Amino acid sequence: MVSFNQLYVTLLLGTFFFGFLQAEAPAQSTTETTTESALSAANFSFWRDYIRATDAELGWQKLPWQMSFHKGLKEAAQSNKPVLLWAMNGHPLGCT
Amino acid sequence: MLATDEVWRLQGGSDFNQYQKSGGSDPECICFQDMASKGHYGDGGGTKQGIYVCTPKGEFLASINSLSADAVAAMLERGLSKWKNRTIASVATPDALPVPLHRWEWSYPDHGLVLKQTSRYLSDSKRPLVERDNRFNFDFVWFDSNEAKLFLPTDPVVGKEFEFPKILFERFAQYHLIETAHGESGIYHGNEVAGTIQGKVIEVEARTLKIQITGNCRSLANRTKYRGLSPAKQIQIAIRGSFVFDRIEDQFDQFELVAKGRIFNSTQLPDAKTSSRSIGWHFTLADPTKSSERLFPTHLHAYGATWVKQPALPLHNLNIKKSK
Repeated sequence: MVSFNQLYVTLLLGTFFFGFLQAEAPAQSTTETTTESALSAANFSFWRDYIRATDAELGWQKLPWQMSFHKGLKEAAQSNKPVLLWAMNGHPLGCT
Repeated sequence: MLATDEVWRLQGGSDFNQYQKSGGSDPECICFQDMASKGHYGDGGGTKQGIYVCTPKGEFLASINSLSADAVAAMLERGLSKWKNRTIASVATPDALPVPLHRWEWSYPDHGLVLKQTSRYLSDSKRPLVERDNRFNFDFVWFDSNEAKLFLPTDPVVGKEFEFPKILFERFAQYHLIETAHGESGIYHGNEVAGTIQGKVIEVEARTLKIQITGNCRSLANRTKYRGLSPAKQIQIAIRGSFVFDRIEDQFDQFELVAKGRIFNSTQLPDAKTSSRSIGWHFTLADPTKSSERLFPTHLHAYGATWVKQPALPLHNLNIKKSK
Protein backbone atom coordinates (compact mmCIF):
# COMPACT_ATOMS: atom_id res chain seq x y z
CA MET A 1 0.00 0.00 0.00
CA VAL A 2 1.17 3.53 -0.74
CA SER A 3 1.68 5.21 2.60
CA PHE A 4 1.45 8.88 3.41
CA ASN A 5 5.21 9.03 3.83
CA GLN A 6 5.78 7.40 0.43
CA LEU A 7 3.52 9.98 -1.14
CA TYR A 8 5.38 12.73 0.68
CA VAL A 9 8.73 11.52 -0.59
CA THR A 10 7.33 11.32 -4.11
CA LEU A 11 5.94 14.81 -3.92
CA LEU A 12 9.33 15.98 -2.73
CA LEU A 13 10.92 14.34 -5.77
CA GLY A 14 8.34 16.05 -7.95
CA THR A 15 8.93 19.49 -6.55
CA PHE A 16 12.67 18.85 -6.68
CA PHE A 17 12.47 18.49 -10.44
CA PHE A 18 9.56 20.68 -11.40
CA GLY A 19 8.57 22.82 -8.48
CA PHE A 20 4.88 22.53 -9.18
CA LEU A 21 2.24 20.11 -8.07
CA GLN A 22 -1.30 20.95 -7.21
CA ALA A 23 -3.33 19.20 -4.57
CA GLU A 24 -7.08 18.76 -4.50
CA ALA A 25 -9.36 17.79 -1.65
CA PRO A 26 -11.19 14.45 -2.06
CA ALA A 27 -14.77 14.67 -3.25
CA GLN A 28 -17.36 14.75 -0.51
CA SER A 29 -20.70 13.00 -0.35
CA THR A 30 -23.79 13.24 1.79
CA THR A 31 -24.53 9.53 1.53
CA GLU A 32 -25.35 7.55 4.64
CA THR A 33 -23.31 4.58 3.43
CA THR A 34 -20.97 3.02 6.00
CA THR A 35 -18.37 0.29 5.67
CA GLU A 36 -20.91 -2.18 7.02
CA SER A 37 -23.32 -1.42 4.18
CA ALA A 38 -23.56 -4.30 1.71
CA LEU A 39 -22.46 -3.54 -1.85
CA SER A 40 -25.58 -2.69 -3.87
CA ALA A 41 -26.79 -0.83 -6.96
CA ALA A 42 -27.73 2.05 -4.67
CA ASN A 43 -24.25 2.56 -3.21
CA PHE A 44 -22.17 1.34 -6.17
CA SER A 45 -21.11 4.83 -7.24
CA PHE A 46 -20.31 5.78 -3.64
CA TRP A 47 -17.83 2.92 -3.26
CA ARG A 48 -16.42 3.45 -6.77
CA ASP A 49 -15.65 7.08 -5.95
CA TYR A 50 -14.37 6.20 -2.49
CA ILE A 51 -11.91 3.61 -3.79
CA ARG A 52 -10.61 5.47 -6.85
CA ALA A 53 -7.56 7.62 -6.30
CA THR A 54 -8.08 11.38 -6.29
CA ASP A 55 -6.03 13.80 -8.40
CA ALA A 56 -4.17 14.82 -5.25
CA GLU A 57 -3.19 11.20 -4.63
CA LEU A 58 -1.96 10.85 -8.22
CA GLY A 59 0.43 13.80 -8.18
CA TRP A 60 3.42 11.47 -8.43
CA GLN A 61 2.15 10.18 -11.80
CA LYS A 62 2.55 13.65 -13.30
CA LEU A 63 6.33 13.18 -13.32
CA PRO A 64 7.79 11.91 -16.62
CA TRP A 65 8.91 8.53 -15.30
CA GLN A 66 10.53 6.05 -17.64
CA MET A 67 8.96 2.70 -16.90
CA SER A 68 12.13 0.61 -16.73
CA PHE A 69 15.77 0.82 -15.68
CA HIS A 70 16.82 0.19 -19.27
CA LYS A 71 14.69 3.03 -20.64
CA GLY A 72 16.00 5.36 -17.94
CA LEU A 73 19.61 4.58 -18.89
CA LYS A 74 18.79 5.06 -22.56
CA GLU A 75 17.24 8.46 -22.02
CA ALA A 76 20.09 9.49 -19.72
CA ALA A 77 22.68 8.48 -22.31
CA GLN A 78 20.94 10.60 -24.94
CA SER A 79 20.89 13.67 -22.69
CA ASN A 80 24.08 13.06 -20.69
CA LYS A 81 22.32 13.28 -17.34
CA PRO A 82 22.31 11.01 -14.29
CA VAL A 83 19.45 8.64 -13.55
CA LEU A 84 17.24 8.68 -10.49
CA LEU A 85 15.93 5.10 -10.25
CA TRP A 86 13.05 4.23 -7.91
CA ALA A 87 12.97 0.41 -7.66
CA MET A 88 10.62 -1.35 -5.28
CA ASN A 89 9.06 -4.74 -4.57
CA GLY A 90 6.21 -4.26 -7.00
CA HIS A 91 6.53 -1.57 -9.66
CA PRO A 92 6.25 1.85 -7.94
CA LEU A 93 3.73 3.04 -10.53
CA GLY A 94 1.71 -0.13 -10.23
CA CYS A 95 1.61 -2.45 -7.25
CA THR A 96 3.80 -1.51 -4.29
CA MET B 1 16.23 11.44 -15.75
CA LEU B 2 13.57 9.64 -13.77
CA ALA B 3 13.04 5.89 -13.99
CA THR B 4 11.01 3.39 -12.02
CA ASP B 5 11.10 -0.38 -12.06
CA GLU B 6 10.11 -3.52 -10.21
CA VAL B 7 13.09 -4.69 -8.18
CA TRP B 8 12.43 -8.43 -7.81
CA ARG B 9 13.27 -9.14 -11.45
CA LEU B 10 16.18 -6.66 -11.52
CA GLN B 11 17.81 -8.21 -8.46
CA GLY B 12 17.35 -11.72 -9.84
CA GLY B 13 14.97 -12.99 -7.16
CA SER B 14 15.94 -13.29 -3.54
CA ASP B 15 19.71 -13.32 -4.07
CA PHE B 16 21.55 -12.06 -7.14
CA ASN B 17 24.59 -14.20 -6.36
CA GLN B 18 22.38 -17.27 -6.68
CA TYR B 19 20.75 -15.80 -9.81
CA GLN B 20 24.10 -15.45 -11.51
CA LYS B 21 25.29 -18.91 -10.36
CA SER B 22 22.06 -20.36 -11.77
CA GLY B 23 22.83 -18.91 -15.20
CA GLY B 24 20.94 -15.66 -14.87
CA SER B 25 22.49 -13.32 -17.42
CA ASP B 26 19.99 -10.63 -18.37
CA PRO B 27 22.22 -7.59 -19.05
CA GLU B 28 19.70 -5.15 -17.55
CA CYS B 29 19.53 -7.22 -14.34
CA ILE B 30 23.31 -7.71 -14.13
CA CYS B 31 23.85 -3.96 -14.58
CA PHE B 32 21.42 -3.23 -11.75
CA GLN B 33 22.96 -5.90 -9.50
CA ASP B 34 26.45 -4.49 -10.02
CA MET B 35 25.19 -1.02 -9.14
CA ALA B 36 22.99 -2.05 -6.20
CA SER B 37 25.79 -4.11 -4.63
CA LYS B 38 27.52 -0.77 -3.94
CA GLY B 39 24.38 0.72 -2.43
CA HIS B 40 22.58 0.82 0.89
CA TYR B 41 21.93 -2.95 1.12
CA GLY B 42 25.36 -4.11 -0.10
CA ASP B 43 26.02 -7.29 -2.06
CA GLY B 44 24.23 -9.88 0.09
CA GLY B 45 20.86 -11.46 -0.47
CA GLY B 46 17.52 -9.88 0.28
CA THR B 47 15.72 -6.98 -1.28
CA LYS B 48 17.59 -4.16 -3.00
CA GLN B 49 14.58 -1.88 -3.18
CA GLY B 50 15.17 1.80 -2.80
CA ILE B 51 16.05 5.01 -4.61
CA TYR B 52 19.31 5.10 -6.57
CA VAL B 53 21.25 7.74 -8.45
CA CYS B 54 23.54 6.38 -11.15
CA THR B 55 25.33 7.41 -14.33
CA PRO B 56 23.93 6.61 -17.78
CA LYS B 57 26.25 3.59 -17.78
CA GLY B 58 24.64 2.34 -14.58
CA GLU B 59 27.56 3.27 -12.35
CA PHE B 60 26.58 3.81 -8.72
CA LEU B 61 26.53 7.36 -7.34
CA ALA B 62 24.25 7.25 -4.26
CA SER B 63 21.27 5.40 -2.83
CA ILE B 64 18.87 5.09 0.07
CA ASN B 65 15.67 3.31 1.07
CA SER B 66 13.86 5.74 3.29
CA LEU B 67 10.47 7.34 3.80
CA SER B 68 12.17 10.45 5.18
CA ALA B 69 11.94 13.26 2.64
CA ASP B 70 14.96 14.99 4.20
CA ALA B 71 17.07 11.83 3.97
CA VAL B 72 16.09 11.30 0.32
CA ALA B 73 16.87 14.93 -0.50
CA ALA B 74 20.31 14.59 1.11
CA MET B 75 20.98 11.45 -0.91
CA LEU B 76 20.01 13.26 -4.12
CA GLU B 77 22.46 16.02 -3.27
CA ARG B 78 25.23 13.47 -2.68
CA GLY B 79 24.48 11.80 -5.99
CA LEU B 80 24.42 15.04 -7.95
CA SER B 81 27.65 16.18 -6.28
CA LYS B 82 29.40 12.96 -7.33
CA TRP B 83 28.02 13.36 -10.84
CA LYS B 84 29.33 16.93 -11.14
CA ASN B 85 32.73 16.00 -9.73
CA ARG B 86 33.28 12.79 -11.72
CA THR B 87 36.67 12.60 -13.42
CA ILE B 88 35.73 10.35 -16.35
CA ALA B 89 32.92 10.72 -18.84
CA SER B 90 30.23 8.22 -17.92
CA VAL B 91 28.24 8.27 -21.10
CA ALA B 92 27.19 5.01 -22.68
CA THR B 93 26.94 4.62 -26.42
CA PRO B 94 23.59 3.21 -27.53
CA ASP B 95 25.09 -0.18 -28.42
CA ALA B 96 26.67 -0.45 -24.97
CA LEU B 97 23.39 -0.11 -23.06
CA PRO B 98 22.29 -3.22 -21.13
CA VAL B 99 19.33 -4.42 -23.19
CA PRO B 100 16.93 -6.75 -21.32
CA LEU B 101 16.38 -10.33 -22.52
CA HIS B 102 12.88 -10.52 -21.05
CA ARG B 103 10.37 -8.14 -19.63
CA TRP B 104 6.84 -9.02 -18.57
CA GLU B 105 5.49 -5.94 -20.39
CA TRP B 106 6.35 -7.67 -23.66
CA SER B 107 3.29 -9.91 -23.12
CA TYR B 108 0.89 -6.92 -23.14
CA PRO B 109 -2.38 -8.15 -24.76
CA ASP B 110 -2.90 -5.47 -27.43
CA HIS B 111 -6.22 -6.84 -28.68
CA GLY B 112 -7.50 -8.13 -25.37
CA LEU B 113 -8.93 -6.53 -22.25
CA VAL B 114 -6.71 -4.54 -19.87
CA LEU B 115 -8.18 -3.24 -16.62
CA LYS B 116 -6.72 -0.79 -14.14
CA GLN B 117 -7.25 -1.98 -10.57
CA THR B 118 -7.32 0.24 -7.49
CA SER B 119 -7.56 -1.31 -4.05
CA ARG B 120 -8.07 0.66 -0.87
CA TYR B 121 -8.65 -0.14 2.77
CA LEU B 122 -12.08 1.02 3.90
CA SER B 123 -12.35 3.03 7.05
CA ASP B 124 -14.46 1.42 9.75
CA SER B 125 -15.66 4.88 10.66
CA LYS B 126 -19.39 5.52 10.61
CA ARG B 127 -18.48 8.38 8.27
CA PRO B 128 -16.12 6.55 5.89
CA LEU B 129 -15.74 9.28 3.31
CA VAL B 130 -15.02 11.96 5.88
CA GLU B 131 -12.39 9.74 7.52
CA ARG B 132 -11.14 8.23 4.26
CA ASP B 133 -8.31 5.70 4.51
CA ASN B 134 -5.39 6.99 2.43
CA ARG B 135 -3.80 3.55 1.91
CA PHE B 136 -4.40 2.50 -1.69
CA ASN B 137 -2.69 0.46 -4.34
CA PHE B 138 -2.78 -0.22 -8.08
CA ASP B 139 -2.49 -3.26 -10.25
CA PHE B 140 -3.50 -4.21 -13.79
CA VAL B 141 -5.56 -7.16 -15.01
CA TRP B 142 -4.75 -8.68 -18.39
CA PHE B 143 -6.90 -10.90 -20.63
CA ASP B 144 -5.78 -11.79 -24.12
CA SER B 145 -8.24 -11.54 -27.03
CA ASN B 146 -9.46 -15.14 -26.66
CA GLU B 147 -10.03 -14.73 -22.92
CA ALA B 148 -11.79 -11.38 -23.43
CA LYS B 149 -14.37 -13.05 -25.67
CA LEU B 150 -15.35 -15.29 -22.75
CA PHE B 151 -17.04 -12.30 -21.08
CA LEU B 152 -19.73 -12.38 -23.77
CA PRO B 153 -22.74 -14.71 -23.73
CA THR B 154 -23.71 -16.76 -26.73
CA ASP B 155 -26.98 -15.62 -28.34
CA PRO B 156 -27.46 -12.55 -26.10
CA VAL B 157 -31.05 -11.56 -25.35
CA VAL B 158 -32.18 -9.13 -22.67
CA GLY B 159 -32.59 -10.86 -19.36
CA LYS B 160 -30.34 -13.81 -20.17
CA GLU B 161 -28.20 -14.87 -17.22
CA PHE B 162 -24.97 -16.81 -17.47
CA GLU B 163 -21.97 -17.76 -15.38
CA PHE B 164 -18.51 -16.56 -16.33
CA PRO B 165 -16.06 -19.35 -17.16
CA LYS B 166 -13.74 -20.56 -14.43
CA ILE B 167 -10.70 -18.92 -16.03
CA LEU B 168 -12.28 -15.45 -15.69
CA PHE B 169 -13.35 -16.11 -12.10
CA GLU B 170 -9.87 -17.31 -11.15
CA ARG B 171 -8.20 -14.32 -12.79
CA PHE B 172 -10.31 -11.88 -10.79
CA ALA B 173 -10.86 -13.81 -7.59
CA GLN B 174 -7.46 -15.29 -6.89
CA TYR B 175 -4.91 -13.05 -8.61
CA HIS B 176 -6.63 -9.66 -8.29
CA LEU B 177 -8.86 -9.86 -5.20
CA ILE B 178 -7.67 -12.47 -2.71
CA GLU B 179 -3.95 -12.17 -3.53
CA THR B 180 -4.02 -8.38 -3.28
CA ALA B 181 -6.03 -8.14 -0.06
CA HIS B 182 -3.22 -9.02 2.28
CA GLY B 183 -0.06 -7.29 1.05
CA GLU B 184 2.36 -8.69 -1.51
CA SER B 185 1.13 -12.22 -1.10
CA GLY B 186 1.06 -14.73 -3.97
CA ILE B 187 0.56 -17.40 -1.35
CA TYR B 188 -2.97 -18.76 -1.78
CA HIS B 189 -3.63 -22.20 -3.23
CA GLY B 190 -6.28 -22.44 -5.92
CA ASN B 191 -8.42 -24.77 -3.80
CA GLU B 192 -8.56 -22.14 -1.05
CA VAL B 193 -10.54 -19.75 -3.27
CA ALA B 194 -14.20 -20.35 -4.14
CA GLY B 195 -17.17 -18.46 -5.56
CA THR B 196 -18.80 -17.46 -8.84
CA ILE B 197 -19.26 -14.45 -11.10
CA GLN B 198 -22.46 -14.14 -13.11
CA GLY B 199 -23.47 -11.98 -16.05
CA LYS B 200 -26.91 -10.73 -17.05
CA VAL B 201 -27.75 -9.14 -20.39
CA ILE B 202 -29.20 -5.67 -19.74
CA GLU B 203 -29.26 -4.10 -23.21
CA VAL B 204 -28.89 -5.45 -26.73
CA GLU B 205 -28.42 -2.89 -29.48
CA ALA B 206 -27.33 -3.35 -33.05
CA ARG B 207 -23.86 -2.19 -32.10
CA THR B 208 -23.49 -2.74 -28.37
CA LEU B 209 -24.21 -5.15 -25.55
CA LYS B 210 -24.53 -4.09 -21.91
CA ILE B 211 -23.84 -6.79 -19.35
CA GLN B 212 -24.39 -6.56 -15.58
CA ILE B 213 -21.91 -8.40 -13.36
CA THR B 214 -22.57 -9.78 -9.88
CA GLY B 215 -20.71 -12.35 -7.87
CA ASN B 216 -18.84 -13.30 -4.75
CA CYS B 217 -15.67 -15.02 -3.73
CA ARG B 218 -14.13 -16.17 -0.51
CA SER B 219 -10.90 -17.68 0.71
CA LEU B 220 -10.35 -20.02 3.60
CA ALA B 221 -6.71 -20.67 4.51
CA ASN B 222 -5.91 -22.15 7.89
CA ARG B 223 -2.16 -22.33 7.31
CA THR B 224 1.06 -21.01 8.73
CA LYS B 225 3.60 -18.86 6.94
CA TYR B 226 4.67 -19.40 3.33
CA ARG B 227 7.52 -17.35 1.84
CA GLY B 228 7.54 -15.48 5.12
CA LEU B 229 3.89 -14.42 4.78
CA SER B 230 0.78 -15.67 6.53
CA PRO B 231 -2.42 -15.84 4.49
CA ALA B 232 -5.46 -14.19 6.01
CA LYS B 233 -7.62 -16.86 7.63
CA GLN B 234 -10.69 -15.83 5.70
CA ILE B 235 -11.67 -13.21 3.13
CA GLN B 236 -15.26 -12.66 1.96
CA ILE B 237 -15.89 -10.47 -1.08
CA ALA B 238 -18.98 -9.19 -2.94
CA ILE B 239 -18.64 -8.17 -6.61
CA ARG B 240 -20.82 -5.86 -8.70
CA GLY B 241 -20.46 -3.95 -11.96
CA SER B 242 -21.21 -3.77 -15.67
CA PHE B 243 -19.58 -3.38 -19.06
CA VAL B 244 -20.50 -2.25 -22.56
CA PHE B 245 -19.10 -4.17 -25.52
CA ASP B 246 -18.94 -2.76 -29.05
CA ARG B 247 -19.73 -5.64 -31.39
CA ILE B 248 -18.68 -3.71 -34.50
CA GLU B 249 -15.31 -2.58 -33.19
CA ASP B 250 -14.93 -5.82 -31.21
CA GLN B 251 -13.82 -3.98 -28.10
CA PHE B 252 -14.97 -2.99 -24.59
CA ASP B 253 -16.26 0.61 -24.47
CA GLN B 254 -16.92 0.74 -20.72
CA PHE B 255 -16.03 -1.47 -17.78
CA GLU B 256 -16.79 -0.62 -14.14
CA LEU B 257 -16.49 -3.20 -11.40
CA VAL B 258 -16.46 -2.71 -7.64
CA ALA B 259 -15.64 -5.40 -5.09
CA LYS B 260 -15.99 -5.00 -1.34
CA GLY B 261 -14.46 -7.43 1.08
CA ARG B 262 -13.81 -8.21 4.71
CA ILE B 263 -10.58 -9.82 5.89
CA PHE B 264 -10.91 -12.01 8.98
CA ASN B 265 -8.27 -13.47 11.23
CA SER B 266 -10.42 -16.48 11.98
CA THR B 267 -11.78 -19.45 10.03
CA GLN B 268 -14.81 -19.68 12.33
CA LEU B 269 -17.36 -16.87 12.06
CA PRO B 270 -18.76 -15.02 13.84
CA ASP B 271 -15.75 -14.64 16.09
CA ALA B 272 -15.84 -11.55 18.26
CA LYS B 273 -12.36 -12.20 19.68
CA THR B 274 -10.40 -11.78 16.47
CA SER B 275 -9.85 -8.66 14.42
CA SER B 276 -11.11 -7.95 10.93
CA ARG B 277 -10.91 -5.08 8.45
CA SER B 278 -12.55 -4.02 5.19
CA ILE B 279 -11.06 -3.47 1.76
CA GLY B 280 -12.48 -2.36 -1.59
CA TRP B 281 -11.44 -2.71 -5.22
CA HIS B 282 -12.34 -0.81 -8.38
CA PHE B 283 -11.65 -2.03 -11.92
CA THR B 284 -12.00 0.06 -15.07
CA LEU B 285 -10.53 0.19 -18.58
CA ALA B 286 -6.83 1.10 -18.63
CA ASP B 287 -5.65 3.78 -21.04
CA PRO B 288 -3.35 2.01 -23.53
CA THR B 289 -1.80 5.33 -24.57
CA LYS B 290 -0.28 5.81 -21.08
CA SER B 291 2.88 3.79 -20.49
CA SER B 292 2.09 3.77 -16.77
CA GLU B 293 -1.13 1.87 -17.56
CA ARG B 294 0.70 -0.77 -19.58
CA LEU B 295 2.46 -2.13 -16.50
CA PHE B 296 2.29 -5.89 -16.05
CA PRO B 297 0.03 -7.51 -13.42
CA THR B 298 1.83 -8.33 -10.19
CA HIS B 299 0.91 -12.02 -10.42
CA LEU B 300 1.21 -12.34 -14.21
CA HIS B 301 3.84 -15.07 -13.78
CA ALA B 302 1.20 -17.20 -12.04
CA TYR B 303 -1.66 -16.68 -14.56
CA GLY B 304 -0.84 -20.02 -16.20
CA ALA B 305 -1.63 -18.47 -19.61
CA THR B 306 0.21 -19.73 -22.69
CA TRP B 307 0.27 -16.23 -24.22
CA VAL B 308 2.44 -14.93 -21.36
CA LYS B 309 6.08 -15.02 -22.38
CA GLN B 310 8.07 -16.55 -19.54
CA PRO B 311 11.74 -15.71 -18.78
CA ALA B 312 14.50 -18.26 -19.42
CA LEU B 313 15.17 -18.40 -15.68
CA PRO B 314 11.90 -18.42 -13.65
CA LEU B 315 12.92 -16.53 -10.52
CA HIS B 316 10.06 -17.85 -8.43
CA ASN B 317 11.46 -21.38 -8.81
CA LEU B 318 14.88 -20.50 -7.43
CA ASN B 319 15.53 -21.88 -3.98
CA ILE B 320 15.44 -19.11 -1.44
CA LYS B 321 18.74 -18.95 0.43
CA LYS B 322 19.78 -15.69 1.99
CA SER B 323 23.48 -14.89 2.05
CA LYS B 324 25.07 -12.90 4.84
